[in-house]
Amino acid sequence: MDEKVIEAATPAPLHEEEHHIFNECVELSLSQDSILTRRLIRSDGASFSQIVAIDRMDDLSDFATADPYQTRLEGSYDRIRQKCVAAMGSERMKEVKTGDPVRLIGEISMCATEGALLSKVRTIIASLGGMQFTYQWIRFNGANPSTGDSVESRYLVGCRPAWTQQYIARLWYMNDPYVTYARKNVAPALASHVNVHRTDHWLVTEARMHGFASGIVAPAHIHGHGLVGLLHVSNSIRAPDGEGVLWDNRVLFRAISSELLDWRVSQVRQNALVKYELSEQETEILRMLRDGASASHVADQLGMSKHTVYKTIYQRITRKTGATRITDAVEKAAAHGLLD
Amino acid sequence: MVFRMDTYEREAIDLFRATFETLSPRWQLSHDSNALELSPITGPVAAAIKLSSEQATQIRTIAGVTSSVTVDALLFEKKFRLHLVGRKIDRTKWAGTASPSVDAEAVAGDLARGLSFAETVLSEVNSLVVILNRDGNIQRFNRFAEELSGLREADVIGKNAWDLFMSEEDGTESRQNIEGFFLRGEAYEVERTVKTIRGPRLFQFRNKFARTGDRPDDTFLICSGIDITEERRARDRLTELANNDTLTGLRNRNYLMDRLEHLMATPKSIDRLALLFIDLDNFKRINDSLGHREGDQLLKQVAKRLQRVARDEQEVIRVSGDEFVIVVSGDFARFTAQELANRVVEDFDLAYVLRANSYRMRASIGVVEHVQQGDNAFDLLTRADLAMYAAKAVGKGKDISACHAYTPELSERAERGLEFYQALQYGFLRKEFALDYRDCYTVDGTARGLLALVRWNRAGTTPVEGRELFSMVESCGFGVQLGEYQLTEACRQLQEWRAAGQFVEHVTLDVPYAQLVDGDLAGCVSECLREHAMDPSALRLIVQNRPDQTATHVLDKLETIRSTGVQIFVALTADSAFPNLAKLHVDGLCLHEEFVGRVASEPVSRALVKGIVGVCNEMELSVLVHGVDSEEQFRWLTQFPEAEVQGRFVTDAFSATGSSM
Repeated sequence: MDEKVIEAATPAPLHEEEHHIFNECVELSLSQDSILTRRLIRSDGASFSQIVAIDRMDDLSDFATADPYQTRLEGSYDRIRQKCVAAMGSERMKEVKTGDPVRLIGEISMCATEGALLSKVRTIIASLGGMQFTYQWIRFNGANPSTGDSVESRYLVGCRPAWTQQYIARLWYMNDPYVTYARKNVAPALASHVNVHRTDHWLVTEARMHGFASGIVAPAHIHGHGLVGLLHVSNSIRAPDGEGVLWDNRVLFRAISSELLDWRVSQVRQNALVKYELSEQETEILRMLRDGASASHVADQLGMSKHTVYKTIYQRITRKTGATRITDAVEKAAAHGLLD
Repeated sequence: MVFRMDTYEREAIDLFRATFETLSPRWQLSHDSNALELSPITGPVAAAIKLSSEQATQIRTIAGVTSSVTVDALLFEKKFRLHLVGRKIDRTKWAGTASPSVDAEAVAGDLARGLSFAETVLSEVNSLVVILNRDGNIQRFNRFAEELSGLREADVIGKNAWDLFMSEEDGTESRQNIEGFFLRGEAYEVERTVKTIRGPRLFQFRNKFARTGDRPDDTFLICSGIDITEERRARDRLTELANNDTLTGLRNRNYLMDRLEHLMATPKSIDRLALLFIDLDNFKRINDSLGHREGDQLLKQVAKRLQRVARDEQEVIRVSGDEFVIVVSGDFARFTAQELANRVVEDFDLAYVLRANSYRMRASIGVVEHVQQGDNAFDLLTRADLAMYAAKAVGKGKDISACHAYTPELSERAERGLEFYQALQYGFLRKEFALDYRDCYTVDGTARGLLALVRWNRAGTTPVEGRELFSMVESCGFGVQLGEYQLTEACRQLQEWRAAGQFVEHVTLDVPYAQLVDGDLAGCVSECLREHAMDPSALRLIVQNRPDQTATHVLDKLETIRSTGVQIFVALTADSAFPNLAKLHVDGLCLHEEFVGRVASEPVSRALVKGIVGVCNEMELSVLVHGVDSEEQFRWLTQFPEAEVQGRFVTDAFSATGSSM
């Protein structure tokens, strides 16, 4: 193995800005390795992050001009452009790495940042007959992903950056047949299979204008997290030929999707561990509560009074997790993967 | 020196004459051999002398300037002292003429030749060379300088260079320059315009100091200059091309941005800089009908007239096809700009004449002033653009030129577009949309299904509906989503009613234009019907905006939907043209409420409605009349037994007897 295992500390960004536009907030952040993250926080708290690699200045200008808030963010994008130019000037051209896809999929879990993840996945997808891809992590409120509204979405953008800008700005995620499919299914599926009743679904037509001709989707779920991963790979070869290439690699796409979801979960867990600082005992208590235990069970287990459990233990846990009640703390800890 | 001729010398002279046909043969030495080759003035090498390496090295120290070296060497098995006069002729060779020490005159002659060679070089070199003493008096003046000035060297030597060739200003500066440099003794470069017989020309001088002795008077300035007039002209031409519009000769956008950045860089420009942004409203139409050559002529005329109105005081710039900017700077820029804008508006009242045809151009002018430090050129232009659009709104419909000054409200209004987009987005997220259902009847009171109207119950404000809502939604790009919501919701409601035992014949819906063009209307309709187990006849869709004028694929879409059994209606408003029903196959027409509203007062509207209903009967199309709000209107409509009616009066009159719901 030539790569290091996850390092918790990520390098400081080259540039960061935050803009409030009426009821929404947009955060733009450029990393050292020319990865731009645009995070939109809606007034209801739901957030949408796009993670885009800026290989050429064209990528940045495509992304900026497609931004619905372009008029307000123009100056910001311009500053980012200058930072990018400065950073690229000193850096050599990014070489396109190739390699055995199976080995590369195994290396996904070792990526330290989303930027590293993005470039790794691009390499893998390219060697599997895909030309474009998006990967979305969608967190729904509630543990069941087939109901509930999305509260946090992150998109690894391996396609024309203008596509995800439009996708988010026009609320297309609400109409996306692939998302609907992913909420209820785990098996990989061809685009034509998902859209069996509406092969010319308008969103599919829109996507085709961005080079998504044939496609495959590979959803991934993780129990009890309300978190769904969705890999959408496409090429510009028309179905059925284009789909054939992709279908042959469905098992690998499924593996990528699962690995990416696991990566996210472990990242979330890592962050939560640092943030909440729950002790082993406290985690164990939360686990018992999740499995249906009551305060008296907990008291028995710990050999203390129910009063102490309520007054001391529960209060400490809710304070640490920022929850209002112990049931909220259980939900929060579970969502962050601390109880797995 | 005096040389005595003796036998030895005589022999030597004879030998030289015999071998080289001269007393001063050519010599040559290369960098990699110590053999000094001697040859006749013309012809191959006739003899060689083996030099010691010291001697060879001594010769090789000679540079490009003619010099002499004396060597003692064996030639023809005799010892000779040779005077070598020569120079380095290329990178690897030294050459010149050699004379045996016997011939003093020959040596002197060679030296003179060498010097004259140097002189020739100085004279013939293709650049201006003038040598000055520290007072600026001319010491040397080469041929190039003679040609350039039309003066002879002999006439200028000792005269002052600045008085002769430089403008007073340049001369003074140059004099000070040179005095300073004489003190420091450094070489320097400078560009000077020189008076020549061909007029003033720009020269780039490389000036260097040369010393011939130790006294200060022995220092001279060698000025060597090359004519860069043409080069500079080419560069200026390029700059001009980059900053000028070749059609009108005006400055272009590139220049404007540079100019504004330059002007705005200083805080002094606040309140002293204003812009007029002029857009020709109807140029595109005229250009299309006239042809592009005439269009170009017209633009040239506009440019000329704008320049005339701006009276050379303010710069006129063509920023794009039919957009011009006038930069106003100086005190009271805002008032000057406003006054100028009024004059431009007046000027546009006068006709433009091309080939005996007159054209009236219309302009919309935005006026903006630079008031805030930190703003850049782009900000200013954006505001000018907003003001221009405001002017356009004033002039529109009245067919007049108009101007409008920028106010912060204009920016706020533009921002409101974004705010509205956000609000609408939340409308969809929070599901703030709802359908209102109105009953439709035939004139005899038979229920004919429902009309569904979408309403946005916007949080905190009054609900938005009808045309207003549609245009808002379409402009924000949510047309397809709204259409899909309506279809899904209507089908769900129908299913619910049927489950509850209520019979509704069908629901009629307005289809957003975007859904018709960009959405897969057929797919959405069939999916909604399938999901809610509805028969296609349960839906009737109203399409707007002259669908017979759109692309064929849209017509195909409508045809596909009709073929499943869903009915398609076309909406007619009072100002819309009658659709081409031969091209557009539909099931019926919808008459906008304006028609009915005017029936009581306008005979024309009555005739129109009669005619339209007549056409529909003839073609066996349904007619749906909107907005029947009064009894008078209803009574008049009873003459059309086939028509369906909908409106407040109809609902009130029939709901008691037999509502659909």
